[in-house]
Amino acid sequence: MKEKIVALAICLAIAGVAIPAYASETATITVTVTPTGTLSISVTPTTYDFGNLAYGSEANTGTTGYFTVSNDGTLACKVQIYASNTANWTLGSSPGYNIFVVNATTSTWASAITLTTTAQDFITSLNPGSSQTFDIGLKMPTSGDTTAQQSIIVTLQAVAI
Amino acid sequence: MKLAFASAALIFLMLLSSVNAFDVAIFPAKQGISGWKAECFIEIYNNSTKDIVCKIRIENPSSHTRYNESGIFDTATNGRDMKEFEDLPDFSWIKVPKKIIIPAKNGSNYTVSRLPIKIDIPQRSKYAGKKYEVLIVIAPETNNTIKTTLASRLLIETPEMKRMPSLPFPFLFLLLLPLLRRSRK
Repeated sequence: MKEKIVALAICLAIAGVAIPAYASETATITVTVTPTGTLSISVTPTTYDFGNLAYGSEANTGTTGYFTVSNDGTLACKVQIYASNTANWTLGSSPGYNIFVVNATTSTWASAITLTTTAQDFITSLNPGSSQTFDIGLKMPTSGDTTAQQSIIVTLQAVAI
Repeated sequence: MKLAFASAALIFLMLLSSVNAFDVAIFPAKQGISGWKAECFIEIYNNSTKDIVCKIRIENPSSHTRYNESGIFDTATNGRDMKEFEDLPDFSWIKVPKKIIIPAKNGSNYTVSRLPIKIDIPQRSKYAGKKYEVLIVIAPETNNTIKTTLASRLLIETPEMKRMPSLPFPFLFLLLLPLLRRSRK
């Protein structure tokens, strides 16, 4: 009798494993979408003249946001910034002989960043249709070998985020 | 009928108002590519009344200085927004024209030029299963001292390479043992 009970228990256990349960089965599908859009920024105005400045002096475009960068695309982007050397001067982190410094800020000069010749993050996020004002500051070389007018090119670069 | 016309006009006006005014725009701003070799493109739009000449260059994101949301230099990502991606080791793997001209817009319609990009990554095990990010920078030439450029992200994933299973030395010895015995006989 005992053997029969054991055999029955084994049969039930096997059946329990073998018979699939169909109740409450869920089917899922995965739908993915990648948003695309255009990337475009513009800046106004596109020039600024610091005029005549003495070696060793400093100047800036103010604190009210002389320039405005706008996101004209359909994607949010970050805006990076970099500047160029001039014909006679080298861009640096502190003024020196033929070494000048350019700063940029979206708020106060205390939070300004010092520009380099490679891109660095300036505005972490700019939504489509929105804009951000900023200012630029210049620290003249302490001394130099030219009195010729120098052109500094500042570039704003949009990168999708 | 009048209602249908009014609805169509409303939709048209809404579409027009949703388009931002731009001079130069690019599409796509980010694209993923899988494989060793691929061809893709970036569309450059000119919505201005002048022909635009764009210089093209390739940059690795780590050449940039990245700040986190608190405005502090983010050393952890070393300039990369896409943390799981690494710099492309060799720019020669990407063939892209150095310059492209986009004609002035035609009447009220913007014009489009396609920038062709060819990617050819050497099929070597050290480059297999990698995720590379590289930026294609489109720089419109202007006489302005404040300029703008647009950077499109290329996110390249290389396939895994199947490796030959290596036979351990003792296993190889056991396989060769019968042959050695026969040769002795």
